Amino acid sequence: MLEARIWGKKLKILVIGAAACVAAATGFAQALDWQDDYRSYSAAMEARQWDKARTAAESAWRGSRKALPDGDTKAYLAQNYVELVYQSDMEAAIEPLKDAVRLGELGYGNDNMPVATLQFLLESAEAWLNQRNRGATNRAFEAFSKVDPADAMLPEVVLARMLVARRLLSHNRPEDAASFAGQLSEDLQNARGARSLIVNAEGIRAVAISNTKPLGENGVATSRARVKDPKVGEFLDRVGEGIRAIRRARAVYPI
Amino acid sequence: MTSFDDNLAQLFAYEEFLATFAYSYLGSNDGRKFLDRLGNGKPLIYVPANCPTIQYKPRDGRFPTSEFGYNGVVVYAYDLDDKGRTTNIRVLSEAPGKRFADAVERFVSTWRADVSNVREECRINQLQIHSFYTEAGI
Repeated sequence: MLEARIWGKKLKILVIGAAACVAAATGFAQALDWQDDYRSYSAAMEARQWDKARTAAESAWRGSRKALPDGDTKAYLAQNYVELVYQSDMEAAIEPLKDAVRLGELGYGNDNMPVATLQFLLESAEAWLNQRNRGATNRAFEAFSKVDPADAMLPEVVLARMLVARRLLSHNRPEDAASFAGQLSEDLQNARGARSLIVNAEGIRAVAISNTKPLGENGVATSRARVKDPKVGEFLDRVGEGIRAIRRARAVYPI
Repeated sequence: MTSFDDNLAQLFAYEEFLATFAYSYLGSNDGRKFLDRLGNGKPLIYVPANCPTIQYKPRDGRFPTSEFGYNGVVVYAYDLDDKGRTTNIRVLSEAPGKRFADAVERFVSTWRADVSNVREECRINQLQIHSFYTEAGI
């Protein structure tokens, strides 16, 4: 097995000849189908024809579900499809993600994408697609702590982290949203990530910090006496941290 | 018209948005001291070399009553024509979302500047940040 990255996509390159031996036992025609689809997928990836690659990756994965027993090959095919579809059609990613997680829990495919990363992607997608599902948001928040740092900056993981931060904010968990978005921003800055992503993460952090203010959204106009409240001091500490973070983020711009 | 990086403009807005909460809780003077203690970031505003300080009248606006209690920031730019009128007002970014931009456009459109002896280079692309906040105790 070979591993390659095309435009940040981590994909497993299967050696078809060896895999065919496994597939042949379950039916020659089915085996040919998924192998042909896999070859189309590989060619499309090389040519950066993402739509074609997505269609072929889906066919290869679906074909392998009928033709192959559970194993690494089946897991890689599910993961390849997930990586192509996660950012463009999250709803379509749910089914292959569930399959990839199931196979990962059986010990298959973890050398390409560990099951902890797949679990985070799955929980994040569930949280994003079901706005009121606080449980999914919480599971995604918890699942990220198990993601290997080496996978934390994969494009689909970055997207998932951004979406979880937004969900934490919309579920009235501003402190968690601030820390989650803040960590993402700092990771992006360290990796010299896209400025637009850094800005998005800093935006979530700034809004989240503002929502932690102790007097409530309209409460700033209540009483100056409450400024002596220790909670105000804690809040202003967060404001200070947020401002320093934004200044670090914009230090890359020449002025 | 020179272009302005959208991402940088948005970072300006977020930074100033957080700063408004220091003003809200500490008041303008103590808020400024608090922010000064954080250290100096790079300057927010770029001013062409050898441009004089432009004097305006009037340069205030009313806090939109419909937004009382909310904080927000608008980063915007405009040009001054040879009569000192504001033209080509454009909002570059806002935080936390669209809330105060219309009010800013109304304020800025009424401004008049004394541009006698101010060359054109110094009249275009005036970049400003307008912060809206209410102070505790008001």
